Amino acid sequence: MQGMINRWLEGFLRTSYGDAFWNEALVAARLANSDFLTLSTDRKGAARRILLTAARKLEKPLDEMLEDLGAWLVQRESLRRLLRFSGPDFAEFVQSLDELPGRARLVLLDMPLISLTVERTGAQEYRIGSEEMPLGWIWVLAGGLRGMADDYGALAVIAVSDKWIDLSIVVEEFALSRPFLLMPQPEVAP
Amino acid sequence: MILSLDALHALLPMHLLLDPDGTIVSAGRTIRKIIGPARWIGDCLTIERPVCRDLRDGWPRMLAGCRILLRPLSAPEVPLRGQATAMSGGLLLNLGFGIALVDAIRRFSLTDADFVPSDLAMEFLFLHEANRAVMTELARANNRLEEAREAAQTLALTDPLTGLLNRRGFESCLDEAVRQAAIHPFALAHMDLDHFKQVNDRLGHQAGDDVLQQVAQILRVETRSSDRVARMGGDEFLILLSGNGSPDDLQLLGRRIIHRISATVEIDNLCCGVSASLGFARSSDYPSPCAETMLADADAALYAVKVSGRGDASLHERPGVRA
Repeated sequence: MQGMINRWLEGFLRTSYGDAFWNEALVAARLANSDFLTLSTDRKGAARRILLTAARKLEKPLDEMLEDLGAWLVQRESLRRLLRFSGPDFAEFVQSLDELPGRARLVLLDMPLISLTVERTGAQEYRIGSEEMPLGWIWVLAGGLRGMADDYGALAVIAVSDKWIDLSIVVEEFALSRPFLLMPQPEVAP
Repeated sequence: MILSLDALHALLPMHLLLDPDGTIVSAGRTIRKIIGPARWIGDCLTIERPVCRDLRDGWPRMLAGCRILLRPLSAPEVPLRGQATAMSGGLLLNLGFGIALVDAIRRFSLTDADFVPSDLAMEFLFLHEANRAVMTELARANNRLEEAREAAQTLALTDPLTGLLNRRGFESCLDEAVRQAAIHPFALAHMDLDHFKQVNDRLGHQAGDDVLQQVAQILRVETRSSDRVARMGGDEFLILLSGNGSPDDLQLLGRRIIHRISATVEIDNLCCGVSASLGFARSSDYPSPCAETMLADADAALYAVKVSGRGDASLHERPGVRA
């Protein structure tokens, strides 16, 4: 699983900021000679280091970088499709977020035990939290939620704090949902 | 208590309610997508299980709860499986797609709305896609690892300057050749460059490296793909020649290599006077060849050449006699 995370990190930084940037970040993080992509455990906190280095280079706050990462992740067709199975509309998607870790564990056997709680705080308001989430991942989740709201065509306001995300769905059908067929067309690779 | 038609439609989008004569009294909305507006079972479905002549024949077994398999006439590749129970004098069947779910969705353009929350269809599709994505990811990671491993392996056995094998790489080839010597005889050549030290001393190491690279290229050209060439360090080279070359063949090859080296190795377009000496040993000259002995004997032959004036190739004679 770590290899997959590292691959996503590289993909995110490369496509967002370019190959040269990525190579410089590797050097700055003293990871240039390791095979970053095939590390099966997060040895020496490589993933964390590369993120911190990249944020420093861009002079961006780390949480902003993590949010961008979240948004980028849910734009990848394979991941986006898997998330869309959770619900036919954004409200149902949000409500079933607590089942997401369980679904992930069905396929990623070495996934750490993380739980997500979804509390309804109003008609269209939710508070999403997690006790075990590693530091910073809450921002990735927030970015992902923003991305999914766009995907479903919903308008949502998302506020993040250290421990939870406050989300309110302003307009369910603000824009057209991106197309989602239960079965992708035959020639499309996952 | 009887289940109302409304309740049936709400909970069981894949239900069929049949009369004994085959009339379709009720069909769930998802089943309707498959059978269309048909009013009678014979118009849209064949009964594969239970094996029976017609509905009437299979009726008692279906009532008793046996496994049912129906094939839509419009799509025989999407079988429907389920079971039935008695209701209102008729037969209530609840059906599902089983592993043909994926085909059914594609064939009939089914959407989320065609399944009820209690159905595991969404979970199934999620697993199906996630599994494929993970497999692809694993394959990618494996390929990367394999490439890295091969690269590391090659690196460990290669001389970085010339691209020839290094000592380690050559030794493993030699060990293998010795193991197979009875079926695949071979010859060993030990080569030293003559007057190489002067090049390094007078023209510097860069020039020296250049010479070594040119020599390496000559050796590559003069040997076959089944042969192995190594640089042992400095200006020392070892060659593994497959096949049972005759003493004359080996000497001819040696002299050709020497000629190429002395005639063509240049620095700044000037011939630099470098030449070579070679000593050979042949596996077929030994009753049971051994790497250390052959190496020592090739070395001895080389030494003999150097002592007698250099610039020549010589086969070690009378193995086993040498102390």
